[in-house]
Amino acid sequence: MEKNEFKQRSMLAETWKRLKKNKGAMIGLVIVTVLFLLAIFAGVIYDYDTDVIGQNYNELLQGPSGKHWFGTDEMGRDLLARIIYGSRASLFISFAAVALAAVIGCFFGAISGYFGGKVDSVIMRMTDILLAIPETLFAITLVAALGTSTFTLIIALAISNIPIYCRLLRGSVLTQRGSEHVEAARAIGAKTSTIIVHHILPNCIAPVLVQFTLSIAVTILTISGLSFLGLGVAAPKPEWGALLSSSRSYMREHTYLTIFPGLAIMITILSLNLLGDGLRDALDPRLR
Amino acid sequence: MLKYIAKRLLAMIPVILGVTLIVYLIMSLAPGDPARTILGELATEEQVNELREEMGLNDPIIVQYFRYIWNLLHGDLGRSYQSRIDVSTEIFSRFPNTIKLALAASLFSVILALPLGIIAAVKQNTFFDSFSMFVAIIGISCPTFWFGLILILVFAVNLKWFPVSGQVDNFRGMVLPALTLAFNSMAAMARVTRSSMLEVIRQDYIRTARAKGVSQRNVILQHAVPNAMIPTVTVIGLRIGGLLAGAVICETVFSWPGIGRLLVQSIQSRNTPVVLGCIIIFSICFSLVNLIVDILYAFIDPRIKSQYQ
Repeated sequence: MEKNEFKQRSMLAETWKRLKKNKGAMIGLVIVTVLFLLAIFAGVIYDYDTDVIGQNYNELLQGPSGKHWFGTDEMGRDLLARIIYGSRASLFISFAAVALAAVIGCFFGAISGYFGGKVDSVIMRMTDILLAIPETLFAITLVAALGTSTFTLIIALAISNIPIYCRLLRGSVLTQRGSEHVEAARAIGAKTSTIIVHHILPNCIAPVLVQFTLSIAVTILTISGLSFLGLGVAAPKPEWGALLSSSRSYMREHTYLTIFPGLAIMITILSLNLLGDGLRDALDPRLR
Repeated sequence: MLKYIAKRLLAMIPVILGVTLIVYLIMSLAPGDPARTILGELATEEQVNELREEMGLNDPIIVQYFRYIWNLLHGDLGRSYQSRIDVSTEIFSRFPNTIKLALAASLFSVILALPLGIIAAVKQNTFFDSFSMFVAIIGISCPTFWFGLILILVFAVNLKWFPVSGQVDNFRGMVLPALTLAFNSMAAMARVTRSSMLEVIRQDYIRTARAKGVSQRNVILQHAVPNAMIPTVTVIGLRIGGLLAGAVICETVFSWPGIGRLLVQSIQSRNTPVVLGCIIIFSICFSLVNLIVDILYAFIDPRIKSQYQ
């Protein structure tokens, strides 16, 4: 075995050191952080009732100006305010859904990988079935049956993300299961749950973290697509896809209404993808 | 090879049954009584009950599901609530349009992605490489419908090169919808093609080919590309779900008369049998195309083929 003569650093510090060297990932991280702060402190900058959903008939459809940086929409509402508040919907729903999916998926994946046999085949057949329904289509089905609500969206998106994590964790657990440290833990009589939680899971975090970042990006795209179809977040609540959908009637004369919300989505997804790619390289240097 | 195809076909049956069951169960959660919806508010309780009995709505849900599947196998998907037309007629009159759009989009993305990815890898770290990878990451990050709207703004409204809404029967009317749908999968494919090409051109057999004096062109096209295609084909398979979901959105943007638009319209008018039919047809298509991709995969990769000979 290779002898480590250097000062032992934690995996986190090591990853961070490598991540810092990746320009794209750092730009992504900065933008994502700023977006988060904007979403959290949106209430400090704008007042929801007056700026975001309050209508102002003196300032209908004005182009970008010093007062309204991104212009105003057909009801005189400031577009920048609506985009910033819109990030709340996208970020909250996608985080809730993906986090739920990651927890449930990892749970079943760990069980499937650790115990194998019949349990494994049953869980894997279930994931096959879920994987056979595209995410957007599954969300559309649930929304068509239960109506549009934040809760339905979260559940639908969570369910369609479960199989990815299930497979991911099953794979990692399978490679960990036979390793020496797990055997040692079993030999000293550790409980199965302790082995899984303390000895196997910590070694599976890296791929889950990368997948988490990338899933958030895909999920935000799905949410905006659903809202664009009128099946996601309902008006007058601002959401990026819904903003784009309502801009269609004014697209010819008021181009900015179409351009800015789309740019907001694209920059968010771009940053998350850059960050995810960077994380993958930093966590697994062999892939470079 | 036949054995492999047969095995894959058999494995697909439980998946399709599972998918349709899930979709059927979810759709049965929809509030409202179908019999009441058809007859309207003025119908008496007896009339509603009579129709419920006639439609088999009083049977257990699992019986209803198997009856649905049985009818599906005979090409019957029930009737639309509003127009009372057969759902299958409604769906299959629009089906070719969706297929046309999806095929055109797949063609566009392959034609654009392969050269982009291959040249980027061959000319690694040049301007062309960074440029094409920039285009690719934009493509992955860009929402389908926004890209469609921007294309409409630039090429239809301002330059007037193409019509604003899609037209099924002429090439010019198909360009913008197909490009919109293709952009995302094109980007993903270009990225994977580049990275797998990069891996392949460092292999020993490529060095051998160069050493024996094969021209650069032949090294790339005959020795490297076929080997680099395996991951690319996988991505094509993975992207098909995205393509179908994208079709729903793309058809709405361009008013394209396909199943995707029918689905959205039926949801808005609460036409459950049509919604159910559309989603089930979509899911079956998705499974079938995945099967085709898997078979294609075995065809390209001799290692899989040899297992079944």
